[in-house]
Amino acid sequence: MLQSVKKTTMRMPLVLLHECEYMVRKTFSLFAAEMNLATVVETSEISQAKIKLTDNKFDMIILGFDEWSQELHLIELIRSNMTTTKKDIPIIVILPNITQSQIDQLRQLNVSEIILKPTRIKTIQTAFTNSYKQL
Amino acid sequence: MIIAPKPDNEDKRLQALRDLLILDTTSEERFDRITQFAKFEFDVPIVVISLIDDDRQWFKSVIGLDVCSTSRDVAFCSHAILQDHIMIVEDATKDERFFDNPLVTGDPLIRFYAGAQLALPSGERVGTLCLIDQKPNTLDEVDLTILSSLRRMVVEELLTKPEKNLQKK
Repeated sequence: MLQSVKKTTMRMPLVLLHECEYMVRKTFSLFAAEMNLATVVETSEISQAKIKLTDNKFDMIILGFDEWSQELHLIELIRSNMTTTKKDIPIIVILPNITQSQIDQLRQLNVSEIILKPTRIKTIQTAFTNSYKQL
Repeated sequence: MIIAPKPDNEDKRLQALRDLLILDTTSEERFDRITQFAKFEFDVPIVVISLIDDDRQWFKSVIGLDVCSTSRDVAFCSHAILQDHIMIVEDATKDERFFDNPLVTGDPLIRFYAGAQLALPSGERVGTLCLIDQKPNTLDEVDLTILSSLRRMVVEELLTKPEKNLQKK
């Protein structure tokens, strides 16, 4: 899959990675650049993420949850076509923990992958590759 | 055991290492968070940021070992800095360079080793970010790229003076 991404894509996908953990953010960003997987825009504050979503047309969102309601609202904004980004792009979420009702909420918002913390970069990469098929 | 020869640019390499003013400094969170992250990412018991000095390897950050340096002669990293790519030893007991190395025959009983060279922009390889396991192991392409990314972060930190290292959230 990684090979086919490299061969068939004219432009690298633009990914918003919102995550409060510096090591996850920075390592995935460097990794994606080194693998020619994606151009990653990093944010650590939800307000920054909203601005980036207004300024850029992303191909995928990787959204680390810190405080449930704000991040959920951000997904709702995207799915309601209230940002510059296309409303049906793949969204991967990373959470410290989750309940069944929260899973249901995320599924209703058509979240493509749910990852639990602590997470490995390799896990995010696998989710990225799976979600890429939707593009 | 095969002792690694010194690189052709050894004098320049040592000067570049010493110019970093990092040898024998105390542990720092900015390096420790990288070794901690690597330990979790690769699920190995030992992770080291090793700097190759004249006759020793000195650890700026170490997880899983109780020492802060070893003789350069026995250091796997002395071999790694001679290579252009990440050095992988899947099973040290089957490698002619290391099978009778005291770090293999005795504590910490190294079997698996992966060392990513820490190359400065000037080209000098001052040390490695290395993963060590007490059982044979290997890394795939994705793992190697993640290790390479972490190695780049270590080099960035080596080039950053501590006082300029702003708190990163």
